[in-house]
Amino acid sequence: MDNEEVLRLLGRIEHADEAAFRELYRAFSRRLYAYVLRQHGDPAQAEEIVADTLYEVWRRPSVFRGDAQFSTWLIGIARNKVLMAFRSRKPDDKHEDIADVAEVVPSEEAGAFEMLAQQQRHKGVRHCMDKLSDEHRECIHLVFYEGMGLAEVAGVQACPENTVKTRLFHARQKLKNCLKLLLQSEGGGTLAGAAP
Amino acid sequence: MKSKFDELLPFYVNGTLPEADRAWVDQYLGKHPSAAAELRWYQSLQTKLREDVPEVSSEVGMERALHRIRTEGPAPQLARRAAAPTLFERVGEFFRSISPQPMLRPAFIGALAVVALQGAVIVELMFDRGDESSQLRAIAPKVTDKGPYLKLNFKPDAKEADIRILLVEVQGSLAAGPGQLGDYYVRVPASKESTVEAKLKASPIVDAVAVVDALPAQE
Repeated sequence: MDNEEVLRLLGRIEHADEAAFRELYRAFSRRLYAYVLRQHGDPAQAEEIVADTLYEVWRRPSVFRGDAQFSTWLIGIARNKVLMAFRSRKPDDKHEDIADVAEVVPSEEAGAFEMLAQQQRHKGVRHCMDKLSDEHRECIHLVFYEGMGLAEVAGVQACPENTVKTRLFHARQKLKNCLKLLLQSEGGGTLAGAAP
Repeated sequence: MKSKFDELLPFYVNGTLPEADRAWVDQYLGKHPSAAAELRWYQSLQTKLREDVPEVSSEVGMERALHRIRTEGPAPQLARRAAAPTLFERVGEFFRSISPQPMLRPAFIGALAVVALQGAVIVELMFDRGDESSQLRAIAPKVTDKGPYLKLNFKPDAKEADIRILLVEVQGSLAAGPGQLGDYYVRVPASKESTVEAKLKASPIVDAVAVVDALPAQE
């Protein structure tokens, strides 16, 4: 759904048109849910955050002026809610091994990328994404899932563009090494058994 | 060169790179065949991420949102404004509420125009005081100088010289007039009103005479 259609629906929502709200909700909820779930990890809380984010649209439909993509704007709202949810979350050891992963495997070996491109699987990608820090995982999601440009990512993450570049670089390294380790472990020390 | 390639490649893959940078990456890939493997990995990663969509309905969480809308409010901005309309909106709503069905609106507007015209004429008449002589008879008198006075009307053929002589004879002085109806207000010595009145009534040039308490208001 493009911004023109979004603004038309928002105009109706300003007049308390619930049908327009439902239409907008259906158009963006799954995409928003994917982002929130990727960041938070808890499906029940992700559902709550999606509902609360879109409820904000109902409350203040005229805040969105069409200067950015509506999905980007929504993610900005959802991001704040995720961060608030993180504050109430008890600390876990979700990311404790990612630094080690980045150190263990030497990078840039010949054929490593080719091997990953051929053999990485959805489950492995999801597993290694979960191992990334919140900022790195978000960065990868915004670039490759949402298809955002550099400036947009910097806007959502509220940081300079150079920081986004650095985050992407480190996220890529950690992700690549995690996937390689995963494939090696699944293949019993070789890559032969890690076919998709 | 490699670090620039590393920076640009993610955005090359997701299609957001400006044309000039895109051309630069294409050129780099042409010169470095080994970099194509990295490109393919990114492309594969993007595919895997985009295919890994959570299997949820597009109405995920919608019931919760609708519940909040119905229980917590507040309604959207314009609806809130409607709930607490401004003075201008209230006036507009009043006129909308008294306006008849669309087919009768021309007649309604015509009637309003007639009422407005009548109102304008009435207001004009209220504030139109005309000349001083009309004020004497048109405006309700108010006490400006305590009387009594004699209000005189002379016959049409009475001459000004005769009127003056008569007033001198009764020791009267002209206090007001004449109005358009020929009213003269004359002050006479105190306690002689009755005597003077009788003398004036007997005069052949006087048409009518009466004792009044005050002069008509004159602003």
